[in-house]
Amino acid sequence: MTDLREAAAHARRCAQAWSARPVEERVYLLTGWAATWINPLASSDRIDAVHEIAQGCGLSVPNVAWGITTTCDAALSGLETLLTASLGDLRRLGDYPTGAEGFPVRALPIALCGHVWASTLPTSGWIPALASLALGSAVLIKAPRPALAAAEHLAASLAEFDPLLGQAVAVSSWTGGSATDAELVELCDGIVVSGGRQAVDRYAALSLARRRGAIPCVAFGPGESLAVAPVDAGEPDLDTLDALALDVAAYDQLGCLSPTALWVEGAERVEPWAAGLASALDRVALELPRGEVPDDAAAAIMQRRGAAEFVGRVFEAADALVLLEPEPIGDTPRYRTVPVHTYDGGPTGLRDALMARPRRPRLLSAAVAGGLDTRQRYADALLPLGVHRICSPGIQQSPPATWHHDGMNWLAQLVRFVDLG
Amino acid sequence: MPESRQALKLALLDFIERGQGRFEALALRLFAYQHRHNPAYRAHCERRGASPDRVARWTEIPTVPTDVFRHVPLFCGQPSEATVVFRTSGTTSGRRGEHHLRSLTVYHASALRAIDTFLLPDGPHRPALMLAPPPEALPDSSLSSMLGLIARERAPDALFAWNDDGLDLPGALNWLTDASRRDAPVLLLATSFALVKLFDAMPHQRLTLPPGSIMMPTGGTKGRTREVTAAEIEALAEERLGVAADHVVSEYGMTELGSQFYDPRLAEALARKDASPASDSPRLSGPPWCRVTVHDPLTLAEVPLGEPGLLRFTDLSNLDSVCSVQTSDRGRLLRSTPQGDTLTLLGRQAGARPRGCSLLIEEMLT
Repeated sequence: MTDLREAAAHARRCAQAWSARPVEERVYLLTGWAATWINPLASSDRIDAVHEIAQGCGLSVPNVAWGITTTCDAALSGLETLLTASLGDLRRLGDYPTGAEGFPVRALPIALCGHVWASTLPTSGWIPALASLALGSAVLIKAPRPALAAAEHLAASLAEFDPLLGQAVAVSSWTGGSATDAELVELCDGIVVSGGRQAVDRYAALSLARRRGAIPCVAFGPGESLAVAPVDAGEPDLDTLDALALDVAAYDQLGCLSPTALWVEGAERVEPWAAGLASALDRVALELPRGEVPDDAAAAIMQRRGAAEFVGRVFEAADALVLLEPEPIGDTPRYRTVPVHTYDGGPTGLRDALMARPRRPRLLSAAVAGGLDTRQRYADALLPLGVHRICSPGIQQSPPATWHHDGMNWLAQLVRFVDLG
Repeated sequence: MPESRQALKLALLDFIERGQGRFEALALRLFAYQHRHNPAYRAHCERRGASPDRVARWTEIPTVPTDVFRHVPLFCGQPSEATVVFRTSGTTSGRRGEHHLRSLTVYHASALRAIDTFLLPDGPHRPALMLAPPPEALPDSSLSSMLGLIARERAPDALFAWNDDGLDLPGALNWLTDASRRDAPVLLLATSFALVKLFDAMPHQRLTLPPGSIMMPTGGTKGRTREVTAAEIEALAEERLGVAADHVVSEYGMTELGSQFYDPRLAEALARKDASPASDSPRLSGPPWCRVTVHDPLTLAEVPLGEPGLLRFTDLSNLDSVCSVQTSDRGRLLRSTPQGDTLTLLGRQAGARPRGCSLLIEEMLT
């Protein structure tokens, strides 16, 4: 507890100097740092870190490296745009420019932002942490054990890149659900939490009930995504199948943007898509092999495969299974286990089929094969289900830094706007 | 000439009740019968290139994961011809597994023989209390069916502490209090969850059941409102009811299997063998007609004796469905002999459903 308080106090003190730097300089430094991670396996400075992060979380080394590259590429190309889009005007972080509101507005970042990471995707917390730093806040990261190496390497490499920047970041780790969670909330001025329903709800409640006054809590809760092959997409081509396979293989299907099922329009079209996806998963495994599969997940995969063999058909791939299931029979165990279902009737037909499932998880995103018109029609139909990111296959797991995660302008919640009348 | 069910049933009963015959030969005959009469299973075997003329050992019989019972009727014949259907709990998918049986003859013979061996090795006919619904209240529960069988065949004065509102705790406490004032040893059968409720209802009460009394908990409490280990249940049984630790005979079974496994300590103690102390992962022994192999979770390759993995059962009492069942339960095989196998559970797989009717009954208790 003392360590946590000291770390928070230290980060808060150092952030004053960090925050005093012009925002353009902060963004320049952070994107410069991101550039040093773009190809981590080719860098002698980074390769050990990638191995340590992989060892911690169980993903394969190439998969971790892919995640780092994707994340840092998004930061490099989108961090400044994220700030501008979220605040209306980047200059608001140090001045009172007059914006679309018609009067001068300033944005004051919170002093210390707590970032609570999930255990599944070790580098998924990097963008929100970098965005907080770009705002000028200090960052206190709570990382679960599997993601601790990713947090420590983030902090160490930031400090190496710029000592003042590094001092604005503190890392801690403890088991969730403890009294220390409440202490973290007491110490911070805002929280960004990613994780399961219980963790997200707990931090939201703690943020509201904070003794020294409620603080903003940006909650990225659990969710699922899917892939769609409408009639408009035509027959499966290699590029589309490889793109779908990448979406599945990235992070071993453990992320909230990982497609947990492929929906194919028209029963007669489903086999080529299922078989093609299995072949594509074979190919992608050469570059992104699957990591460790925990025993409980392996048992769940075994059961699901068994059920699919009886009710449908199984297409085997290296490190993956594609399960042709006429009707959804439950949640996928993930780790590259892709149920394939059929629907009819275009976007509304898919919406109805999704709504008819026995359990309806919160849907976040859909990778829809076909053109922009097709994606827009599916976006309109799937909006009522909560889907808020419709994209082409292949980029589902690599959203830009500016995407509205969970449908929110989340970064705006970590500043206080001051209107000058 | 294909073997008839009647001929196979008689051969199985000979093996179960009199020990006549060989496990492997019977397993292969049973596989041939199920391959012929169970269309879903036959298709499954054909996908694997397995047929009676190609399967030479019982360990080669194609297995079926327990979840399949939730999606397909695995029955030798038309499901409408089944006289009994045991069902699992619903859980997340909303689908309940179904185990169809044409008759209960083999099932009952198997259950009684194992009960006599492990649960009542010093003889039947003692007053019994069941903390579970009777079979007429829950006809699709294999556990209730087994308890009904015990009540009918081995403990004719048994009381099911159950009423329209569920578990009848006052009735159970009265029965136990009365029993503690008598000399005759009693039998207490309950799901672990019901036992927790019983112990919670008597925080300051200490009863001493007559020496020789036996308690049979079944089903774990993992994932339930309160988790209690087997060792804790043993300790509570001794502290609150005066039941000796070696007279707590845990049972392990599931809807998809006709056979049950039991803690062998009581049987061993009565046979003047060494009894081992309680632990959180007690040993469980099965009958000679239900053999166990342990498999790697990912590859499903069989692992060596003593190594951890997923438990697979080849159960000759599964006459009307499939005899090889692959579970998600983790365990180790400690001893493998033609007289029966002994295993230890390593806790339920986190992603797996709690097994069998214990959970079904627990759903009625909450």
